Amino acid sequence: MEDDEGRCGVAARDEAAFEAFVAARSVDLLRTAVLLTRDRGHAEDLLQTALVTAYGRWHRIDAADPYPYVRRILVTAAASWWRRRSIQEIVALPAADPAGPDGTEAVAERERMADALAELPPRMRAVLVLRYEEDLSEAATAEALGCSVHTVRSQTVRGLARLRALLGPTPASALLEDR
Amino acid sequence: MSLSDLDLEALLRDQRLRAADVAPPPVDLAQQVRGRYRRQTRQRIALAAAALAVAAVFVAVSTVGSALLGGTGDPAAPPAPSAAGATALYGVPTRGSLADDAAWVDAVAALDWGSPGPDADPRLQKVAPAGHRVVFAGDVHGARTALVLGMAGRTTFAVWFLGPEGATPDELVPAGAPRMIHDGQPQALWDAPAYASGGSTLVVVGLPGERLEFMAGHEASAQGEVHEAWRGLSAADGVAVAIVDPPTSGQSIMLVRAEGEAPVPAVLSGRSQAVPATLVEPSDPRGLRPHTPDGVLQFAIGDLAAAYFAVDSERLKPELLWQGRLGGASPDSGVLVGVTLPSGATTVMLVEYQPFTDPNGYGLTVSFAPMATPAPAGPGLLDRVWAVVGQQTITVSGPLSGATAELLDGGRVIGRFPLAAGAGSGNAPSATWRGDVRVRDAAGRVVGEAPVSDPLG
Repeated sequence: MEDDEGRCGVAARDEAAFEAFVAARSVDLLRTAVLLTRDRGHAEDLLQTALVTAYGRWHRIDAADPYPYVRRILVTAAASWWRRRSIQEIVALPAADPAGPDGTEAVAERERMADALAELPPRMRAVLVLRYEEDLSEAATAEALGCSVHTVRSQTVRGLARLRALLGPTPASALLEDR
Repeated sequence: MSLSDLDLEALLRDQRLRAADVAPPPVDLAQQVRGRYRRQTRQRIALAAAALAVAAVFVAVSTVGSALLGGTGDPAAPPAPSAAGATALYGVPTRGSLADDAAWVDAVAALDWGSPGPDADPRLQKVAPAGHRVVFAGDVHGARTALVLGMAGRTTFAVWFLGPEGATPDELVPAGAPRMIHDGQPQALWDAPAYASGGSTLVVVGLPGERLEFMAGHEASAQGEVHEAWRGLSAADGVAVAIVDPPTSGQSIMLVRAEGEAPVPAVLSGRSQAVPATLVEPSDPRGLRPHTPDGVLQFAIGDLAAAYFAVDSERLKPELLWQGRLGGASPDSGVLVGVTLPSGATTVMLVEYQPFTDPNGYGLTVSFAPMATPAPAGPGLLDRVWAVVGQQTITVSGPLSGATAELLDGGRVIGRFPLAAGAGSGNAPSATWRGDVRVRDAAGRVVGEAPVSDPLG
């Protein structure tokens, strides 16, 4: 039943806990959202989508550490973003205006990798993001995605192979040497 | 030279720098989340109420019963003289049944567009609320809508607001995120307040005097030729309100244009996208349905075929032609679904996917989903040879007696793989291979042959 403030089933103590969680972890979640979506314009909406879902279930979430649960919601929601995008491409929607070019070679190379990541299926992309960009272990990645460690390993191998094919024999080493 | 795994891993870790460049979330994020949660809850309530109300109105309305503007009692009658010769919507007086309600219009102009995310078009932050213009405001078929424009320099942004009929301005919610527009092109909202009632509302706002058209999907002739199905709208003073077929899925696309001009996608309201389509069970001549995930069928039939051709899934008479592990080295699974279009032409969709499980349940990731160019009306789906090349494999469906598929390149057999009841999957010479496929029965007799299907679009 909705109360006067529309807070369906969210008690006052949960409100405070939710506020504290958002204040403490939303930066981390937004960073993950940016990496998962590629399209920077969707990242905050993805974060809000995940938080809205979490808010509705807050009383059922482990109060000790809600972060892994919310991150799972985020990853799952990201998959649906990408599904929608792939379908839009199939029906030949005009593409959104791409971001303007960056001035430095390093940033351009970073964008190139981001473009390649965007071509991967969402779960494969999520594995690579969590493993290398979030520095999670194989076990933690498997837990975050709700799959087996074996699946994480196979998706990692296949994801790297696809990235290699997508990036081609271009001198990405220049970026690595510059750092 | 190819990148090593270490190179790739370093480049992936480097992506953290890209994410680190992003500004932090807004300080009132928790408050925004609570607000969105409340709006969604209210929208669900409003949707249920609207479904009851509109069911009584949308009786026996078919494809395009266009509701003309103007005339006594018309809810969207233009109240002001048109801006003759205008080339931009921003400069055109407010139109619609509420245009004369200055207080209401002013309040809508003052509505907050929501906080643009740190990654939104930065020009959006320069849109001054004082410069918002309401170019359309009216009650249309059970909903209250308003189109508001704002300028940032020479760039125009637009946002549609939506609420129940009779809503006060603060009861309106954005139907989608603000988006940059090419001012001078029409803007449209496609809203399905009563998904199951048989109708949805299309509101198109163009320049005064423009002839407006919309396209909900493609049509295939009996010869299998596919073209865009544009339909004219009855417009008054550059505004059209029409009852059209509802979205066949949340992935449906509606385009509008001024006659002869470039098309623009309509905004599909959030509540339309939220209504799940019902899975239409395909016929199952090979007994494969028990092994086929519902989600893949929904994707192929509803999200691909029905959305592309804007035809209700049931009318497509879908047939499940094959499912299983894709051939060769591919680790993915696949499903081949055929449909018969209203003209009698037929086509198939191959969906390559990977299943997964997560805390929310079972799901799947679609990695590739080509649709074949339709074949002319005549032989049924099972009486033809279909050969669709995927990312690494080729999937074939032929007559039920088929036992082997042969890949022919210039008449020479370059590969073969077994079929089960006329269907199967094997290695493709390449992702762009375009040879022929011959199907033989167990006795070696040729039972069908066809070129590899060209992908549609």
